[in-house]
Amino acid sequence: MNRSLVRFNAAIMGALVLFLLAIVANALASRQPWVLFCYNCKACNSSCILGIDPQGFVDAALAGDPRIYIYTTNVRLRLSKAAAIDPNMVITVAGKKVAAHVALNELHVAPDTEVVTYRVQARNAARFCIQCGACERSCVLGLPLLREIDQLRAREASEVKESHAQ
Amino acid sequence: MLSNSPVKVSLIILGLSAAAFLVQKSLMVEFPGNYPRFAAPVKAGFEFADQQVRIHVPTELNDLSVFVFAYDSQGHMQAVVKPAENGAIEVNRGDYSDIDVRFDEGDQVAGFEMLKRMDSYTRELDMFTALKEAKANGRRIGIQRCLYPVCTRCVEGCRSVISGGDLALEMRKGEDGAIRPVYSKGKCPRCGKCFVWCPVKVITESDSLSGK
Repeated sequence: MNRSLVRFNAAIMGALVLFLLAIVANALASRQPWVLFCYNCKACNSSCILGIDPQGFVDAALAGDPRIYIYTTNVRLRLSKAAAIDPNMVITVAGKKVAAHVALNELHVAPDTEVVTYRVQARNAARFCIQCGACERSCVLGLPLLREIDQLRAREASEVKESHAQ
Repeated sequence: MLSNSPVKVSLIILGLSAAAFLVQKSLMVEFPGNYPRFAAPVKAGFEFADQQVRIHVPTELNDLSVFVFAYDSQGHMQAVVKPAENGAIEVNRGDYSDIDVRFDEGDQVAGFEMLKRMDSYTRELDMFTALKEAKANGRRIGIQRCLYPVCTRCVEGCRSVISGGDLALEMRKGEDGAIRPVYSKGKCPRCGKCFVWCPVKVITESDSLSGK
């Protein structure tokens, strides 16, 4: 085999191993090592009455970032509240999917209009979650999703507390 | 002995398991042994307008999500999850029902269907119309703070400590149409799981053991 191709293959393999190690490191750093076992079967996907895709919480732990956007398609709230929580939250208003700040400032939708969420940050989805445990019940591996949600909520609450203290 | 690779692998797995246990230990829940206490049914006032039903609820429900329900002609409960704000809940024309609940002859839930899947509805049942029709035909409408049958955590907790089907806690349809816990103190093992796990605090810890 051409020597340069061997080097190329070795480099690609090395990059892949580093990428996989980064996922493992993120899962451990998120204190949720069990997320590595989730194989995205989507069994939990249709169990949430608030339309939250619980697999998004797993992604947040794997990415080590609670700010990633996940599907949350059935939380009703006032537009002003949605914009205050996260102006980039994607909401459904009058059949359109737009960011909350766009609905408020460009489409001039009244702030007290009730809107339905579509994609929100994982930490905000955790805040909206009613913790009914339907996702855990439907998980074929019995992964402790509520623990991750609890952790995200606690982290969000402490960040809000810190920002108020400053 | 350590040069033996299966032993090494086993030790590594044991070490990882111990690390995972220590990481998760702080998240483990402790259950105080006590009897549960149940919140009183929510009193709500319904105000019907052309395009909206405004429901006046106690301000203690502010920022909580509750079920607004109406019974249809087949005896099914149609319910939508709505937030309470400033002591009121609004149901507008075009707000579709989130769940359709069926009951058996003993007023227990026989099954339910989630009507919204991701971004679309499997059936579009207008909640505003359902409330108006139920009101006009003398069928039950109301507010339910307990999220059963979507949430079954109290019953699961009870089932995890009582073998067989004779549970201390059952969920039944009340006279006002809301589903609520029916409790049998004599069967209760005081495990505390029902009130620790109840996410909406319809079930809380009783003071009966502390004598208050």
